[in-house]
Amino acid sequence: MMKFIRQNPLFVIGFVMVVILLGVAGIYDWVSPYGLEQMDMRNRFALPSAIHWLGTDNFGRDLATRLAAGARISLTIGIGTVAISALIGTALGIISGYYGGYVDTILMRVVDVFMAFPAFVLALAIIAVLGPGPLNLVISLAAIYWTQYARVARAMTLTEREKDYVAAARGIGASATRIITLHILPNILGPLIVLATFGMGTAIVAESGMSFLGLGVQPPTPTWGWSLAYGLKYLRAEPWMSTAAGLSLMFAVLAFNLLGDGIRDYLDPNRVTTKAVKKAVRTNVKRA
Amino acid sequence: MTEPLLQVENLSKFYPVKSGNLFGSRVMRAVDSVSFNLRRGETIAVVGESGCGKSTTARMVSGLLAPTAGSIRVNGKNIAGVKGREAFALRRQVQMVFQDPMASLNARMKVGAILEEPLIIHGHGNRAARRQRVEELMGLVGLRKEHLDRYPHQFSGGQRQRIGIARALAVEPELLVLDEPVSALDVSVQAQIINLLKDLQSKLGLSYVFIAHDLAVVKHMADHVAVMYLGRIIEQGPKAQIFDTPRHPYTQMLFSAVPQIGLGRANPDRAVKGEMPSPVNPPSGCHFHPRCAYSTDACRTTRPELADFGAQQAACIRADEIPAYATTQSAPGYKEAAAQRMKIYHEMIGSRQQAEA
Repeated sequence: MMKFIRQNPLFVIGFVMVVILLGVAGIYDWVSPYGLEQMDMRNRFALPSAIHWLGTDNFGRDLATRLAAGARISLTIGIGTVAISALIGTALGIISGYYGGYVDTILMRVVDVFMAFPAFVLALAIIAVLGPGPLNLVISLAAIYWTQYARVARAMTLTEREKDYVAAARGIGASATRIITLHILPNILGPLIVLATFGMGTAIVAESGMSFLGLGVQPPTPTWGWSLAYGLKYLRAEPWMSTAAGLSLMFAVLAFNLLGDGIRDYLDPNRVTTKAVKKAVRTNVKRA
Repeated sequence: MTEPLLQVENLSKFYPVKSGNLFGSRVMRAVDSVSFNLRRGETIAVVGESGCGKSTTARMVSGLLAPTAGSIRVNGKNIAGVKGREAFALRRQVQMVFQDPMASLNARMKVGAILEEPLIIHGHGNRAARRQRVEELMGLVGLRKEHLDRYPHQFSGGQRQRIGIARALAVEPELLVLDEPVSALDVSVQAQIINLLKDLQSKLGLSYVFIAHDLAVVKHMADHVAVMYLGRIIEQGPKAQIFDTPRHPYTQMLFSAVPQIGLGRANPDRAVKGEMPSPVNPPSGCHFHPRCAYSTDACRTTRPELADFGAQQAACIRADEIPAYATTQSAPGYKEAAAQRMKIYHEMIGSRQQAEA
């Protein structure tokens, strides 16, 4: 692990960024001296300063506090979306790939139907039916993202199920459930985790997009997308508000993408990390 | 005579092959009416070129592939095409060892878990009893039980194959199907694995179906040899007869391809020639006739059946006429040259040992 960290500074940066994000989202209400809705009309559109770290918005509310609250919402919706879509997509993808035949044909046609819609239009349509709100937002986003997991899981399962270790498991009498959960799933998990990490970034952007359009989380709940949209009105005169919201968004997406890259490298099963190697590295370092 | 442990009868596996034209679909006869018997404690080696159907046969015998036709009897019970609970019980009797141990071991499971899995599936005792059995298995195949917490990629190729063998032995099978168990290994490691298999056979009374293309290994392991060509057995019998007096021209061709220390190529004129035809569109009559030095018009039309020649069986209509072929014969001058080489070799070793001392 230590060796891996030393060789992958980007992973560490991504990890630290995610931790910062989670930390900020988790503790802002204890730390911040400002309330979310606490206005200061004399101090509208303040630039970042010692008093207001990221300045203030059009009502003089502390932008840092509001963006931190936005981080909590974005992360919650991002995690919810990724969890639901990964769960459904992976399960259906593995079943499709493992059993093949009719099961595969039917499930993959369902996936095709979902993929035939432009992703955002489908999400908008679902929101239009269900109505706006955080839970419905998660449902609509999961509905467009699960197909990715299904496709990847199916493709990986197709290659894995032909391998000898699956034949060996069948040879010792393992049931299909056992083969899927204990043999195939652990072997295809790496790419799926990477996909999920990248998916966090995408889901956060999508959430902001929906909120930007007014179809996501409703005001006055502070979200990044909404801050971005509202700041747009004053963009020419006071660009700071939109910029800060946009930078937060970029920070989050970059964090998850770096983390995803790192996890992908770390999960490579043929990477050698025995204690013996670590010991050898240590002794080499001492000797040098 | 007691009943054989394994009786394979008319075992066949056909695959439909899409052909270019819209209506025709042809059949690939991967394995075509293969029959053989194996007695308890003995080894039958199935040899042949790549693509002759030996691995397909192995997978059918071990129950991983459903045969198109034919029966596989283990202890008199047909295991071909059996499904569900009954198949589960029968699985215990036949286990398989795969060619590539890296591919046949789950890279994400520790060795301990790999060996424990068959015990869990077949309900072998509690955790402590399983642990004990796993340690016993490690000892049986010559691995240290301290290594149970390692992953497969932390072992060498030979050690991995030992793990594969241990897993196959976990459920105490009577028959092991070994699908080229050593051909992915270094020659020095091959010998260790072969000796381990022989030890296990005598210790546990196992029977082996040994799939191979390396005739030297076959000579060391087998009691019986079956030679396959294009999905059919074309010659079979006790090892000594097959190796000393091969009857079928194809078997003769196989043996003459093996270089031997001290003899060189046993018979360069009979070296392997031609390529194996496609099993989708096999030659008429005897499948071997396009490559055979002895083929006549009759070979193009009649399909030869296995006929008895003493203890040995061969499928060749001219087997009577074709000169018996001694594998020990060699081209002139080879023996002398080889003796000379060995002499130089021994001298070199001797002088190096002196220098070291």
